[in-house]
Amino acid sequence: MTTPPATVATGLDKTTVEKPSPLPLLEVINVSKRFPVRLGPLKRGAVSAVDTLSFSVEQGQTMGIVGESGCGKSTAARLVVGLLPIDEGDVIFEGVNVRSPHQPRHTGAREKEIHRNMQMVFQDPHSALNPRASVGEIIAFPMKVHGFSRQDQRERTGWLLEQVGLHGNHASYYPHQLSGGQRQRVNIARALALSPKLVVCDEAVSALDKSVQAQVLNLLKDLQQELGLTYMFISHDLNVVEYMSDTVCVMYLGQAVEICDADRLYANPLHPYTRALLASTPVLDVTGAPRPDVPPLEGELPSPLDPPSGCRFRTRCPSAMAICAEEAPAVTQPEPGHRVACHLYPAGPDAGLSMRRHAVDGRPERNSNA
Amino acid sequence: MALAEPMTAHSAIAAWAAVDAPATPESYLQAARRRFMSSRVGLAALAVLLFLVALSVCAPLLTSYDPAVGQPVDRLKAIGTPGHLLGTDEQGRDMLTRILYGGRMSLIAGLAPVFVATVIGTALGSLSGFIGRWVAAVIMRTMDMFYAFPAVLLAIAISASLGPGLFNQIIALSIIYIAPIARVAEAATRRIVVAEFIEAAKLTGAPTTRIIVTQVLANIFSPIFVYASGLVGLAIVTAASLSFLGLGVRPPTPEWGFMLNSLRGTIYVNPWVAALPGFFIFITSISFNMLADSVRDALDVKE
Repeated sequence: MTTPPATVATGLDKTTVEKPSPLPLLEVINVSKRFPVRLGPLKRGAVSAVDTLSFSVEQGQTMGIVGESGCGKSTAARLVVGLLPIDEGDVIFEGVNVRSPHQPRHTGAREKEIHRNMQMVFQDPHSALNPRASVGEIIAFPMKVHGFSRQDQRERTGWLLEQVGLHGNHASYYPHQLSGGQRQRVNIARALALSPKLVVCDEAVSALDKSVQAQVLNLLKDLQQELGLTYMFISHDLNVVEYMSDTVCVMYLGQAVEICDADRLYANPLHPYTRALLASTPVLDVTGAPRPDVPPLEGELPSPLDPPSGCRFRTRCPSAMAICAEEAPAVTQPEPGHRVACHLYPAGPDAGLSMRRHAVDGRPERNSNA
Repeated sequence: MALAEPMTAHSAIAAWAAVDAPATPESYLQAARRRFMSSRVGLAALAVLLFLVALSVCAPLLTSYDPAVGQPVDRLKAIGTPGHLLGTDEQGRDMLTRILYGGRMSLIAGLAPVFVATVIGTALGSLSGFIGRWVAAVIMRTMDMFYAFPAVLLAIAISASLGPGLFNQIIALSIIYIAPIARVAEAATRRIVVAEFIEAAKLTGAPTTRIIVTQVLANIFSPIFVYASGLVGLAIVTAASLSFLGLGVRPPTPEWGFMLNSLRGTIYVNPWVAALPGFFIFITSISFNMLADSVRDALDVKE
């Protein structure tokens, strides 16, 4: 690995891996997002895309977010990085509340610094790159906005291209001259251009062939190790999330239903939805532990316009009970560090938990609107 | 490279892609130029337009007649009359001379308003397409107000309030073409703003105007260009209508549209001469359209 030229001036050099900070890098606290929709000439409704979502991501780790299409994963990603305004809740980054509906939006230099630290790898390698710009221009644009000198831009672009496994000459290529995998590498290089601490990968490999997926996933892992990156890794593919993540958050209809370390979640899923999801995933590894024998889910995701009362999963849940329709389940912790929101696991003495403090215990819980 | 099988186009591309250090490919503009140069129609249209421009610019060198003064005895000569290659008009002025000089006014009257309207219309359309919400509502509803009037009537009203003259005519025509160009720009922008590369640009913290200039404009250029070049011919004709009403260039200054109007009366006497200015308007307009089509095809990289 060559030394990176043009490191960011504000001490955000990510080549020196820092010690894990005592606070999580990112905390998402009770974040909600509704999209208003018109149901008729006078009638209006709201799609509840994300509802009281909470989780935290530790420095240098990968938080996987998994769920069906339409469960609010991508909305959650856009809320975290600030592409969408939050309706309720807080996003705390490095101990600072960066986006909250209760305080004015950060502007100017502050906003730029937040952007510099949180970048995103997009899903569609075709629409994620400007078809009229060369690869070099695409990667250099964030640096240009942040006032890097021309020479720094050029040197760093070359370095980034090498980091993502491309050749420096690729800078003069146009996106349509690259393969899907190469485009996704450019997509990653652009996300790394400003030396971010957090990289949100929104279905970063879903559009790629399986063989190319593996290459890109390994690239992401290598980069994480070399640059000390923290990932929020969003995918509908359970195998991919298992491979990438330290912690996994399972989402259903805009809510987190289970959060746990990846190994334990896949070995011992607690929520009926997680079980059904895992059961529906093809397993190629015949020597590994068999996945739970649960019938696959039937029916479609209920409309987020009018989510079911109580537990949102009850309409498709094989173990639905009477209470499920009446009350939303509280978050419980049936085993250490494994949190689940389901009435099958009655709240014990640890009532009032949230999905956030899943990994590191012994730290005070932060309240919303802190 | 020794290949057992014959080198097909596909295997050639595969072999090229497998090379570790890729060669520098041609840039976007180089590729566009190469594609344009291989389009016969586009080159022909360009040649015709350059020829017309050269003729208008060099008019004094090509003819010795005065475009404004005629010989009443030589009125309405037919095409091919010795000394008057393209005949004469109803006042005995040499048609070739008037066509050459008239090209100056007509090309300016056609190009200048479309250029001005394209710049302003693109700015307004891309801004409202990008921001949406109330900004789009204010801008696009204002544009709709311009649509509510027939374009020519509006141009007449504006020209009349500004007074006659080429410059005021250009202003009037610019204003009436802003609305349709803004619409095209807005629609094209709305298609492009949903792309993820726009979100990526927003994530850099760049201000809206910068994102529009660096990320949007290049992507909406070709539909706007094609539409605007189609307006050039229309602008020449509309300019002619204004001149006819005494709101554009003043007689006896030659201008194709005005010549067409003033020769209307002689259509039964000397139809070929009367049709000449129309023929030149037609040639100019269709050349712009074909040039625009070729340029668009050349600029279109597959995405």
